[in-house]
Amino acid sequence: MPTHLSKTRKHRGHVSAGKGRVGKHRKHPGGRGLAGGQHHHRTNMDKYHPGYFGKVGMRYFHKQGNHFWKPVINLDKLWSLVPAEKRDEYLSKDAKKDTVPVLDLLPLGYSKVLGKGRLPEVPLVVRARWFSKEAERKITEAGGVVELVA
Amino acid sequence: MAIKHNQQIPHNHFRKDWQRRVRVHFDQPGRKLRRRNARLSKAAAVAPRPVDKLRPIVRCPTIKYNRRVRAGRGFTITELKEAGIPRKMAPTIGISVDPRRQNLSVESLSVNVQRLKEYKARMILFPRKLGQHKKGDATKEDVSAVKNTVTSVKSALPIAPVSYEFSEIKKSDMPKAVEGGAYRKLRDARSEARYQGARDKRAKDKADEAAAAKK
Repeated sequence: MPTHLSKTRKHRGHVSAGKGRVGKHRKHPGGRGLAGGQHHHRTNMDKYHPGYFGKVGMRYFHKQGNHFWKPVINLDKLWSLVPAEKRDEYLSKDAKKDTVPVLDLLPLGYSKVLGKGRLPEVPLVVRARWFSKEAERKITEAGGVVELVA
Repeated sequence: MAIKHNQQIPHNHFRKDWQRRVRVHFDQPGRKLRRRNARLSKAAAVAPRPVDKLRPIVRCPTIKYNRRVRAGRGFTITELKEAGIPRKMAPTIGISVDPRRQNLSVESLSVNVQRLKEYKARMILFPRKLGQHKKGDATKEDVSAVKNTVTSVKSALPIAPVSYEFSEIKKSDMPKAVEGGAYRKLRDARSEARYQGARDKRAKDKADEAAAAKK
């Protein structure tokens, strides 16, 4: 942009160049960045950013995630762990088998069985570390057995 | 800028000056070759012994990983005793010993004793001095009969991971349900564990009181 078009040309000769005599054109009159959130900018912080300051919750020293390892699986996924052909054999209408599938969930990476979903009326044996009340009820009602492993 | 209006609070993530810290791996092929040569020269130096020691099978720690097994540091004194190997002799015949480890279960003990026995059955012990045959050393025929020796114990006696295969059982063999329900059993066990201290104390106090009353 050529200089003659710039506004500055018009400000020449006027003492404060339009920045005011009283307030003055200072660099950071309110402080830089987030300064004063709990002091002179408190009103703004409280109004528009509630909860910005402070902590929530309880401390837990030396919390190790491994101790809380308990991956869950729901009932509706249980049969998907049986290989596809086997599953078809068991679940087809005219299936008359004298064997029962055994689902050992620990090597599959699951620790607890939860009770969401329905089970077909086909018996199966489920081995896991934990069961919910509902999961146990549904498995036994389908003719299956629940086994606990360490 | 100072804080003004209803705006998002600035929360800048300035990157590190990563270009100063870049590491390159142009020596990778050379390093590979060096490692290979070192491996071969070590194998040649210790031949006909294997390059590594016999390690025990142990369970990984913590609830998360205790479904796996891996190689441990060394066999316990108990395991060596069960397998009939003198503890001072074990490190001299390629068996690693860890006096700090303990056998907390019969399973861990038996599996490692089995491992030691397998090792012993396949091991050929040369006499220390030529022509001075001692008890326990392999006979001359045994030594000359063997052509190729194993270079790595790790691959000769592998530690198989706990495998998973889908299985089925007969309907008649189906296990019995947990008495009173598995869920109930878990809850009871938890409650039992939580109250154990208080119950023990109560029992102790009661016994003390009875003893005091008798006096």
